[in-house]
Amino acid sequence: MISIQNSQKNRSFIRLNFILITALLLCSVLTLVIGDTPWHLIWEDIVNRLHGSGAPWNPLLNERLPRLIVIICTGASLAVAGAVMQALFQNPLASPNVLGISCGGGLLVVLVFVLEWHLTYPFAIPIAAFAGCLLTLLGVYSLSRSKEGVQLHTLILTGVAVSSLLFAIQAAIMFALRDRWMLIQTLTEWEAGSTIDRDWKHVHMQLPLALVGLYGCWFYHSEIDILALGEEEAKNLGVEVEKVRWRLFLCVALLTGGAIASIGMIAFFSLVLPHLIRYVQGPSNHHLIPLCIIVGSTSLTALDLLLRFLEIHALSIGNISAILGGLFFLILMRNSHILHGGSARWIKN
Amino acid sequence: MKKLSVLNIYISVTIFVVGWWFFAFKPAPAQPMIEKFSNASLNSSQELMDLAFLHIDRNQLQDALAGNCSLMARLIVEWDIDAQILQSSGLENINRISESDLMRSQYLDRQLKHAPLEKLKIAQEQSRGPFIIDDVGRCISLDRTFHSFLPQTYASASFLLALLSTDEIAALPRSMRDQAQLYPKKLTDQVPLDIDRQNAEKLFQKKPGIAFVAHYSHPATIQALINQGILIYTMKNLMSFSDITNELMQIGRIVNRPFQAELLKIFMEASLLAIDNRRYALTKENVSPQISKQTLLFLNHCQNFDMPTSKTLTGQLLQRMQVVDLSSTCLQEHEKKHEWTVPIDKERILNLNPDTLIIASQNRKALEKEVFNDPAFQQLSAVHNKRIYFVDEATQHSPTQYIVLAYYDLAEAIVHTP
Repeated sequence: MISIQNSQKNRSFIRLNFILITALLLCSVLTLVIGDTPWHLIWEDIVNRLHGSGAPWNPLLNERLPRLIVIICTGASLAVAGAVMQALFQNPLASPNVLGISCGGGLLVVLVFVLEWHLTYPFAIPIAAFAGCLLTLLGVYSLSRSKEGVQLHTLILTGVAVSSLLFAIQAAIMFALRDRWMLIQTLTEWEAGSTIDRDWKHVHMQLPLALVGLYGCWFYHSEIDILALGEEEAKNLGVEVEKVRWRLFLCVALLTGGAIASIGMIAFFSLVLPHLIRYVQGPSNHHLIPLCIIVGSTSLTALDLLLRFLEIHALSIGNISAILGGLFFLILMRNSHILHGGSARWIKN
Repeated sequence: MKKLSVLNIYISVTIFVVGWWFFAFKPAPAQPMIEKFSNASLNSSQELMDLAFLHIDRNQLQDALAGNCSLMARLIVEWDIDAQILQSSGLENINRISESDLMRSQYLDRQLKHAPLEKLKIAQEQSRGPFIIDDVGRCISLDRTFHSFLPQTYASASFLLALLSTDEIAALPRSMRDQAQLYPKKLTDQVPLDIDRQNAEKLFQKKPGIAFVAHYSHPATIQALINQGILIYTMKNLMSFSDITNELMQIGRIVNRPFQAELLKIFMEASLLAIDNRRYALTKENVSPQISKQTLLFLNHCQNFDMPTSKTLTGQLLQRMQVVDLSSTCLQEHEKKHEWTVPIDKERILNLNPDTLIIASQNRKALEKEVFNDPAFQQLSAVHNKRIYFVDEATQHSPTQYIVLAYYDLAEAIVHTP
């Protein structure tokens, strides 16, 4: 009976994967094809390039392709970071945003912009984003830890408090520098999460962090499954809880930091997607992490495509995802199961 | 992998990431083009020997706009003579300021220079009128003379610095001091106090008679000023050249300097005509007739590039120049109507492929480096033609008398021959 159920699950996983990969391919192809430059000119230039006489900059190779890679990496990174956080903390409300991790990364990146270090050292942005994310995560974790371990409600409240504190510091910096309106404009654009003019520099900023982070999360997917059962049970089952948790923290910081460095703040993305995927596919991280990678990439690519296709200049990809995510968050909060202690239902079902 | 020691894992990951960044971000060898273009600044105006007299000195222009009345009067006359020479040499479309404005400017200059102070004061007071209506329709009585002024907006502060002595100005907007290219530090240092909500008591001690605030100013700040018994003159956004000159005249009346304000207004109009005449003469003569047909794209750069629409002052200045402005051709109607700036990515810039590219930025050096090291920009005709120019962003966006300098910078970029 169990083996029939497993094979059914596997078949549905393969079917879902097939649909999602097709959607991702479609969105990717459209992202690469749609643009201002006629396709035949791009192709002509690529052919010339193969013969060593092409132009130094090609819209496909130097603009659309790096943008696509950055969007795919960001979507995958945020979705996986959210899924791992929710499993680690056994809480569906845990995500880099809710726990203030993004705020920490964002604050240090703001400092880099203010000090203009990014002009001399482009890698200062990903380093600052990673360091900010990691320090905040460790801060929130250690502040919410008591003798009994990490209480979920304490963790969320600590995250909210730290997030508010970091946001207040950032607001204070912005207020102090309010007269430097060009800087304020830069920070506003960066905070809104933009995919305009992403080039290979942004790919280089993010890709190594995303590769390490994603591989790390995948490597520990069995341990994450066990950790979702609780710390004691995980220890009994032979998981080196502290070591695994620390490494997963590093991975989450790498994933979130990379996303912040390359695109900016994409709020709530990491909260919403893992939920939806877990709802459809179940809590096993063996399936959840690959699906998060594909769904995250597909949805962010589709969102960006939609914004470009409809020529919506007033809103950024970060704005849209924040609005959608905020609504979802409210719906989640209204869910009586979560409000009355059933927070781990989706994880443990 | 589990067999690897903990240290090895961390070292391998660190080497992987740092190595990646090392190869990705190692400084690219400087391209020789940077050197060439850095020399192509905007102040070269020696295109033709026989039209060399049309040269307009930017520093002199700025000095006059800062309130040097004698210089204003002299330049107005010189430019009018230049225009007459061009007209007599057969060039069409050369414009002169009206005879009445010319005479009025000379009259005002003579009054300001030679009239006894008391008489001048009375004459100025008489020409102020009994009251003035501000931009939100509030009536302000001018039956008394104010002696100290609080300019909360950039525009009013800029006008006051040109019209008044610094001891009559109670404070300045703080970041105005950062724009030393427009307001020399030596001048702004003479007004030590910043307009800041924390400085309310210090400002009160200066006893300003009237404050110039913006319609979007913080309501609590405006209320605090009202509570201190300070009259409020509310200004709306200055969205066109005529808005700027009208506001200048209004402020001139309030601060009891209507003559200086009127002279400055005439000078601003005369400057634009002189710049137009010079541009027309240099592009229509044998010098570079091809320039007038060239396409132009103006971009602002902050984090990304954007194009100003005709709602902005820069957009209006470009329209006045009647150049083939690519932003006006590629923008949608709703964008032109409702947007101030429209984001543009590199691909679109490349497709527009302007003959001349002007970029306004606050950090010129960093942007120059970025642009000239970017292979995308190397494909632009503007780069091949060596017609890529960087202008000061603060000047371009300044809704003050210095809009004349913004126009000068744009015109110089257009007439410049590499």
